[in-house]
Amino acid sequence: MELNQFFELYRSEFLPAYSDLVSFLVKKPKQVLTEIENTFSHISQHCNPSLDATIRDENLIKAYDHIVRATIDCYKLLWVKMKEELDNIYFDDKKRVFALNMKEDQFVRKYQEFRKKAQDARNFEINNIGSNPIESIKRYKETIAIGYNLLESVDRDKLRKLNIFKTIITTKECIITIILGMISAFIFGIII
Amino acid sequence: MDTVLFEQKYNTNIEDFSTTSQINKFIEDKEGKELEIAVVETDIITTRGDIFPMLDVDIDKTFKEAIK
Repeated sequence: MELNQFFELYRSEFLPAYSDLVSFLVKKPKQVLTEIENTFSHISQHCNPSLDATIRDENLIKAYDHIVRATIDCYKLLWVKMKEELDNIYFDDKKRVFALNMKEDQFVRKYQEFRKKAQDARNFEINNIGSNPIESIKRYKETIAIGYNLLESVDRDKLRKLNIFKTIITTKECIITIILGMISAFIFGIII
Repeated sequence: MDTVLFEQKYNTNIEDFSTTSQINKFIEDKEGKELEIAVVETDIITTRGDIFPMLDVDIDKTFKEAIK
């Protein structure tokens, strides 16, 4: 392996994955920074003139593996965070009906595809460890694209209005329950 | 070489960026705040691949739980 292959992977696969994750979270994920730290240690050893060529080559391969892992980790973390947001819609039938710019059945179908593709990507990764990392990265990236498409279908304004409406209904229910409780207690007091 | 959401969100081109530092700086400028370092998902604690044991998150395990 050549050093430029490592940096080609860094630019073509890792940077897009990292930019997607950080722009979604608006935070720097510690787990990925740790992988970069490990990668840098191996690159440093690869460039260490006091080591023999075999060890230096081994370190370059290890650095490459770390950056593959960091790329896949970016997509996995992104998938988990996307799923958290999508679950809020998927498991709430009112949000599914009123807060989407997509037909409900289409959303449900795509959500299931989002999950299925992630399972397939993981199975592919496990069955091809070390042999086809680029294809693994590609498959994870495809699941992220589906998730993003689903999140894009959420109408934030409708969602906000629905949440306000639900809060009002809940508050009204609480007030009615309290008033009914007080009336019941009052009537019960008179009877006794 | 393309992104799923970064380019669309900020109307930019990933090919204009060569390092994570450039990406961080760009997002900080766009969002108007400094990016914090955060541990994403904290329900699973393990050690992984470091010389010194450290608290960290097993992303594989977290992901595996999520896709069930």
